[in-house]
Parts: sequence; C-alpha cells; structure tokens
Amino acid sequence: MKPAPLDWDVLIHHHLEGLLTAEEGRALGQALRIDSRLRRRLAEMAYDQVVLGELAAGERLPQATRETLAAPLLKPAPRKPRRRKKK
Amino acid sequence: MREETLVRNLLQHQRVIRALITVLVGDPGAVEDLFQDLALLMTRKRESADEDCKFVAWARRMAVNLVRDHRKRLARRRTQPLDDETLESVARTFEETGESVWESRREALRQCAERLPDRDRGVLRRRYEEGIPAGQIADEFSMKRGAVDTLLYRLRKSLHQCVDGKLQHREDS
Repeated sequence: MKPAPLDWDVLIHHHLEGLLTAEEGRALGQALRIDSRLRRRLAEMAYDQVVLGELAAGERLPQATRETLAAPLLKPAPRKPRRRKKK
Repeated sequence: MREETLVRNLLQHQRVIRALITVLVGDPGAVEDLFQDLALLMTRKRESADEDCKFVAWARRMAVNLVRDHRKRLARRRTQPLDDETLESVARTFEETGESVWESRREALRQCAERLPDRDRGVLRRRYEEGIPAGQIADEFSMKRGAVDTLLYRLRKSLHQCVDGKLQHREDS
C-alpha cells in the first residue's frame, strides 16, 4: 500500500504556526530545496498571514511624526504613572 | 542611507519584511518583536548602507542573523526543523518579487477577507496581529485548541485559493 501523498499546505501551515515535527521538517525541507513553486507558496502564505492580521485589526496607519522618524515603527513605550504634585 | 530613506523604505516594505521574518522564525508570537529589533538594528547600521541599495535584500541579510540569534536563545525550548539554508532560500523569494505584485496580492486578499464572520476575524487578529498562542485563543473563544488550528488552516487555505483566483482572473482579462 502506497503512503498517502503529503499535503504541502498542511506542512507550510505547521511551519508558520511553529507546529512542524522533525519528520515533517525533513520532508518539507527536501521539497523546498528543489521546488521553486513551493518556496513561492510558502512566501505567499507568510505574506497572507501578515496581511490577514493587519486586515483583521484594521489598517496600520503609521504617523509621520518626529517620533516615528527617530524610532521607525516602534511600539510606543508604556505610559509612566503621573506623579502627584506635592502641595 | 539617510534616515528619511530608511523610514520611507521601512514603511513601503514593512509587510514583506514581516513576512520574511515570519518564514524565518515560524512563530507568529515572535514576529512583531523581531521586526522591532530589525528596525532598530537597521537604524543603527543605516550609514553602512547605500542610498539606493536593494532594501529587502539588506533587510533579509540582517533578519537572518537576528532570527538565528533568537533561535539560539530558544534552542533549549524549541528546535526549528527546517535548516537555515532552506529558510534563507525561501526568504530570497521576497527579493525576486516586485512590491507591486505583493500590493496586488494584498488588495485581492482584502477583498477575499471582507466577508469573513466576526469570530474568524477575531481569531485572525489575536493570532497574527497580536501573536497570542492558539491555546489561549481557544479559551477566549470557547473553542478546543484543535478547532482553532483547524480554523486557521482552513482560512489560510481558502483565502489563498480565493486570492489566486482573483489574480488569475485579472491576468486573463
């Protein structure tokens, strides 16, 4: 009986989710080394993942402020608690 | 490279660079922090880069080292089954594809994702925008862990098919 053919999309999904087993990794790695279409498919699915997160959250709107020029695309630092003025 | 050029390039290529990191690290929870680290590293090293350098290639070279260091730190907890050389060959794919092609893909994906129900949108946001582990998402949405994995796979696959269909249709017309 022949083994079932591997579903590359499942393996790509497992890689991108951090679920890839050593055995799956060997099979996927071997296929990626020789198949440029599979490399492209992995790149596309990674790109889709980034865009999907962004779309689900609403568009990221970078602000063109001095702060973003000084520290591009960095997350804002947590707010420091205000100190009460001593009377 | 001047600071303005760096910022402009980072803004223009941020999705591709995030995707590149996504391929290299294979962990949605680590992508945003690594992207921030990369942006800082590029800011520090910008003077060594030419004004008209191939930006994504430059980012890829730095991201490879950054992710390698990240994985070394995690080595005891988790191993990466794909070797560095293979992952780097996938990362190079991003350089071989023009920004306009990725933009067309993004627009097609936006159209395909428009009709997603709120629950699916919420799961995608928590997993891929915020990097929350699937187990935690399962608790939040009263789902089983396996059901979250299956949902993410199903969405990924069906949306990829939808995007391919739209892009093919545009090429044909």
